[in-house]
Amino acid sequence: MITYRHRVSINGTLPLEDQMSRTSGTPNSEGPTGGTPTWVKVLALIAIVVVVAFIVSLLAGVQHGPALHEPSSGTVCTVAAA
Amino acid sequence: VVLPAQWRKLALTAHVVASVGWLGAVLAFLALAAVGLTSPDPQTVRGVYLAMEPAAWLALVPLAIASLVTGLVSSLSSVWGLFLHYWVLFKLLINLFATAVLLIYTETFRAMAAVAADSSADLTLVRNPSPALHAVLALGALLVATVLAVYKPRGLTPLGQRPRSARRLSPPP
Repeated sequence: MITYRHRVSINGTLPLEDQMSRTSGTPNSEGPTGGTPTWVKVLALIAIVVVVAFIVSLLAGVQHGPALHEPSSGTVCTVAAA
Repeated sequence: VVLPAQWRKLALTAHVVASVGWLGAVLAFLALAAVGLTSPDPQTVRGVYLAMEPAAWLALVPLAIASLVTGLVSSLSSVWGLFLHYWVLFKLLINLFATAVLLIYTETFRAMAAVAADSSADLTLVRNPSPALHAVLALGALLVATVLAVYKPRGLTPLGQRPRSARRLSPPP
């Protein structure tokens, strides 16, 4: 399996054609044929954690949205009545 | 869709301007939210929450939509595509999510402005940490999108890994 890791030279830099491709802002024709990159897994994991945390907070009864910011029924709110 | 080079550059310039402008607007909102939470002057606090709603409609929402539209044009008119590279896909998801949350949050701005406009409402009711929290989260998401746009980390989606000829021949979903 060919991954990008194999394309990095001994001193840790990318081959020249890859560097040129990156600085010119165009994709390299040689894409990865291996699995999903690590950074994608990390970002996907963070996104899943955020979504799950939001769902759990909703299930736990934590209020969200504008209703949370409106005064309670006991508070006088002349603007709302106007 | 293949656009001439000058049109692609124009779309990219517009996308950078809109996206960085959105980031700056969020930063300004964070500053406003901090003033609203910390200022000892009641008029200043009320003014902050009153100003947030129109400022959101005049700055945040147009910039978010402009960033989304110009991003779609830029990606679809370039060799990067929209679903071929993970960094483009993540930027699209971040943009869509942030824009959706912002549009929903405009109702919260309206509610907070209504409370701030009520002179009988206590200042502790007017002060609200929610804009600061949302601004910090938005700032984080937009910074991630900016880093992705600058570094363009490697990684092709399954669609991007398919040979170009196969992508052309495949029927639309």
